[in-house]
Amino acid sequence: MADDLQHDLLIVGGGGAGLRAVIAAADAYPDLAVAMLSKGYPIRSHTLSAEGGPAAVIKENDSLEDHIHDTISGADWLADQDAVEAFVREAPGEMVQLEHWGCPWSREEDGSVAVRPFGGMRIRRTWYAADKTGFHMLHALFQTSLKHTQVTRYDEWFATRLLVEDGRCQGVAAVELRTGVMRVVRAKAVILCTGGGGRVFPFTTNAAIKTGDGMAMAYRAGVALKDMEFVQYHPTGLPGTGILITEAARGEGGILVNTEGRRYLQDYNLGEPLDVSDPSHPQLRTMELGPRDKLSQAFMKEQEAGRVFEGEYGTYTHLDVRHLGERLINERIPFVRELAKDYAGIDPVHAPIPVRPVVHYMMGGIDTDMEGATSLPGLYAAGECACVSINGANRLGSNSLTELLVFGRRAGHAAAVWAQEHPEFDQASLRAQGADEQERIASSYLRPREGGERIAAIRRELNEAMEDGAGVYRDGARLQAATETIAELRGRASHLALDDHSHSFNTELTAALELESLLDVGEAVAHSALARTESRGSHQRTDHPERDDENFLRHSLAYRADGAPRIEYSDVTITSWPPAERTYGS
Amino acid sequence: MPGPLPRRKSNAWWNRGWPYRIILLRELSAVAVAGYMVLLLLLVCNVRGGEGAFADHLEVLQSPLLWLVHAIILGFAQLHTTTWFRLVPKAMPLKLGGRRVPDELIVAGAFGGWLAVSAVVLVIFLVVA
Amino acid sequence: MTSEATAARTVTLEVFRYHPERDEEPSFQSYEVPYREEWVVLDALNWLKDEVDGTLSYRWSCRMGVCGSCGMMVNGLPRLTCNAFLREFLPGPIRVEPLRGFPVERDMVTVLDDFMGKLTEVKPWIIREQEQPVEEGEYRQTPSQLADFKQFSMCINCMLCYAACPVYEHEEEFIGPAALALAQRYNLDSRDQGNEQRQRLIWSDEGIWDCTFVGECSAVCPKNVDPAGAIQQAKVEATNSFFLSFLPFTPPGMGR
Repeated sequence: MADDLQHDLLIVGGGGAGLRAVIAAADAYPDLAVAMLSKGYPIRSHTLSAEGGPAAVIKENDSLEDHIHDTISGADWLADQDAVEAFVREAPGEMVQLEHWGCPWSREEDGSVAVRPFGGMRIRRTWYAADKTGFHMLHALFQTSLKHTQVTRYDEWFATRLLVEDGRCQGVAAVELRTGVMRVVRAKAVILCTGGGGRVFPFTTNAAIKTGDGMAMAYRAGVALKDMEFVQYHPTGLPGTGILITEAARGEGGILVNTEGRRYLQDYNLGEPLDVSDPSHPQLRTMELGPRDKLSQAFMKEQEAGRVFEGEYGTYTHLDVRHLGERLINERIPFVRELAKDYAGIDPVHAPIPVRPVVHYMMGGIDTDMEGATSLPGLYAAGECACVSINGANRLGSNSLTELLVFGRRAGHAAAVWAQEHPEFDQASLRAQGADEQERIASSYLRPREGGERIAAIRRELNEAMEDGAGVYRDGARLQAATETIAELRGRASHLALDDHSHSFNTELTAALELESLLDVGEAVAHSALARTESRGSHQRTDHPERDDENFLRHSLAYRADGAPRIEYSDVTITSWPPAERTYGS
Repeated sequence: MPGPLPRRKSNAWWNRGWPYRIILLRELSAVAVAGYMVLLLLLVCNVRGGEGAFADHLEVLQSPLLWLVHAIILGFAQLHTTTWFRLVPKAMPLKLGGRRVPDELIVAGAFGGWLAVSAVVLVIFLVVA
Repeated sequence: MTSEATAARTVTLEVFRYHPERDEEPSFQSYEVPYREEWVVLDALNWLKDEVDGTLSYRWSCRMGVCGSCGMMVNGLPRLTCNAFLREFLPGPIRVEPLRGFPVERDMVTVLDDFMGKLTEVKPWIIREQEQPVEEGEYRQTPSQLADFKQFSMCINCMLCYAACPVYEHEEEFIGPAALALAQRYNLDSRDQGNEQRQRLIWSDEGIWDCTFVGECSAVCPKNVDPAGAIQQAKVEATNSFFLSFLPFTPPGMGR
């Protein structure tokens, strides 16, 4: 093995949360040796696919209290309220900070920042940069990070294992993709900012890189994955590709219509529709601006009733923005127009956009506290891969981009402090673990093998099992079947046959490692969902249709074990907002 | 181990399509302009040489070859001007009342100005002639 | 043509192959891929990688034209392969190569070190003499001020513009279209005061003056960033500044 690398603080993952953590640590502690390791270049991270924008209270008619309540009720009361309070309080400062770092937020005529409405909100509070908000945020963060010259970057390095010694996380083993060499990267503290694992499902807005690698690494190291059963379906993705059509399209006034031309959301307790020419349209927390879980569930009911269109790539309804007119569409949602033209072959100025629910976000993730700390000392997590939890059973649109910033910064600070207080390494042991990992990968994948299976075949079966068992509506029998399929696939995945046994930029090896992650994530999702015998937020059990606060107002914690994972529960923190019924449309 | 493949360059880059060929022609238009300068200098010398030399000069100018040379020079001048005017909004975007003036309008303005100047030159020429 | 009628058809992909562990020279390998009306070149590559040849190497991620990973030469032109439909290139064959002007790591994977270095050199961050504390709120910026640089902030760093630039092809030192456009994006941002810090590099021989205004960088840009325009604007500014430096005073509106 090549020489080890050593830093004070290592951030794994180059998206919004990771970059925010890097800047936080480098800003506060200029002498700290900070490193960022990412399986792609940071500028390719999935943060940039976010279109609509982050929520933060800034306008005078809004209040922190409202944002907190919207978030908690949106979460179906499964969010930790102390975390939500901190999140909402710190959100505006983070937005302004990003503004100071050059993010080109859209503006009002007087030069102040403009905000737009999003689903589930009482007040409009989503900051935006047209409809490429995530893209602008990521690039502003990345470009700002470049001025911190003490930061070392390992671009296109794939971390495969957390190195744990003395009950403390002390770095990672990672493959440098260019050379294929396995390296030990020692660090006094590690922050995982590796994003979600939406690719465990077949139909998702998530980019190819979103395979849950960080979640899986933590899971294998004995850290719990929390609330993994909660998977958000975004109600408006393009059939076939799963490309996201942002909620901003509805925030600006777009409507959802079934085959009968009816705005069907009015039939699902989401309020009464106003005519699109009514100046009060769109109404907040009503109809098309209801929360994502309810909208996706309404689609499935429409499908059952046969009121959806049939297309080559499955069923869909219509998202109609034609009444906005060409000028507004170009100004506020130009990317929607671009995507619809390129990938659906229609121009939204003249035709409705075909849309259907699509896997978008994982509310669950690595169990952390409000500082991003996990149960493994020295290991932190932030962003979609983490579960603090502010998202509970259903994330409110616009909160994830804010979450990257607030908890990225918090984790960056906390981990930097930890790193300064815990200087020593057990070098020999870490090296041995690295060598061990190198041998595991070489023997699993890089030696020719007769008659093994193709990666794509197993991935496809995993995808199908997840969609069948853990889709928008679930039941015990189908979830049970999914867990069994996953266990079987796990066995088969240990006999993969790769075509590529070389070292330089072996992307087939990357795909194999990602499949390991997907199997871990899928297992945690299916088992957590099977164990939660209630319906809450995005987790809807047809065999247990009611919310059950008595038994399940608790976070699930999935621990990896031999065979099925062990599922435990922990309490939800309630401060000032006792559980109540979720109502929209009033 | 051979390692990464080094950067490769091709001297035939200009032949990769019309946009590249036109660029090369635009650069070549400088040669045409220089050629016209030579013709002008000859004219000046001949004017200085008296009426006879000037008459000779005019006669030489009537030759088909020089007609052709002038036509080529004019062609290059046109190419240079049109391609350049099309690029004006890129180099000098204009804002009026906080809004950016559409590129097409700037290009049209440039061509309009060109026509106007040409018209003035024509008038002067007609008056003098 | 319905998609059922086309389902049985195939199209030929001629793919650039180079392996740094064994090849002295690159070669082309032909594959037959199913033709589907809605497939992009990237879909065809993914199908090949999954079903036929796992050794094929290329980068991709978002498949919606915003991450900038999957730029390649398709039939000689730089394209995002997630946005280059097979139907554009019928009846084929479709030739897929790595982006021109970069060293090749393997197959369609190029070496980006040079570009990443240049990105840092142009100081693409807000530079201010005095930072305003966050508590005092946002810097004011009118929609008109935003419009001054917005276009240049849309760059996804896909590097198609470098692949289209004959200057970069022949002179590696040239900072190049995307990085120069990014510098201009910050110079034009009303919140930024770093113009002078960027000038030394931007106005150098490797900067804007290397550009001969071929304009193909803007033609191939999938996001209409117009790097050629950014560079020409910087040239005009540099020229103005040069002549104004001879004046004994600073004319109103010319100083920053």
